[in-house]
Amino acid sequence: MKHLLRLYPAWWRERYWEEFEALLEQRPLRWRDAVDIARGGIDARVHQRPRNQGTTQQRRIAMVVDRNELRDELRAILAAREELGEESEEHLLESFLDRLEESVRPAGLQPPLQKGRPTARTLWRWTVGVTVLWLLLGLSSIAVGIPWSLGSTAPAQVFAAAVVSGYALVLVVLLCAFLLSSALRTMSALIRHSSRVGTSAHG
Amino acid sequence: MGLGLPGMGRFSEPALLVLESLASGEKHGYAMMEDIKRRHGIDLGPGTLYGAITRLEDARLIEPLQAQERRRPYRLTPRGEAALGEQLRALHRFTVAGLERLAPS
Repeated sequence: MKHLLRLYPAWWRERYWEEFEALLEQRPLRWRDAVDIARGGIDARVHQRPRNQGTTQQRRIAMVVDRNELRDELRAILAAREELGEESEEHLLESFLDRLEESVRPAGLQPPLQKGRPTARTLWRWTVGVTVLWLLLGLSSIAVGIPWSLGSTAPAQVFAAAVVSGYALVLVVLLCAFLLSSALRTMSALIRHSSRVGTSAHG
Repeated sequence: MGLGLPGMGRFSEPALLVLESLASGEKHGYAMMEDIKRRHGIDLGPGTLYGAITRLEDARLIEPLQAQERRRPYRLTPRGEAALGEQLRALHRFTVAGLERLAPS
């Protein structure tokens, strides 16, 4: 049953896992419950949002609060600049920019998704995609190869092999196009990311 | 007029049952399920119950209390009490109106 709980999103499990598990331990579970839990998990993924993300209005309020904090920070920095002189300007500027970055991600909110940046999930999808591609290639080869290797020229067999290999070929072409476009997108994201990292490391 | 809690989708009826159960005092999930089954004969599944709880908590109609040995009790908020009262009155009006029509003239 614990496997079913994995259908729920991470934020949900973090908040409810313990009490939900305690509830499940208190009663005998039936198949109907398993279906109900699976439906609940899908619902939590599709229709619910992490509570700490709040509504758009709540997020705006959070930004306003942070804006006030930023104003205080800027005042403190300007005061420090007058005391410390021009040499510390760069350091103060960096400090302010850090604070500004924090204000875009107020405390408790999820960090924004970084589009295009490769993650473990992306790599996993790639691995699965490539494996499926190899399997399809293998299957189409077998479908075409078996009748030939048996020396059969029976029209039914040749037709079946042609249909299967043709079907596989279409799938392979579609998969290749998808993988190629994904690869190009990921590579460009990787290049952008590494150039950003390089720039910040040198800076 | 909705016959369940508005804005709760397919969870409107379970949400109403949860609110009604909590009207008699704070309860954790299992106690709510048992209470609803005993009083109304409705066997809420765990996924449905927590779907309703999540929505009710989001709408601030119920609030969680300190967990006791992994079981977390919930209680109605004043807003939840008001929403429950309003919904029950609407259901009562609906029931009375329906029974009047059914009654032999």
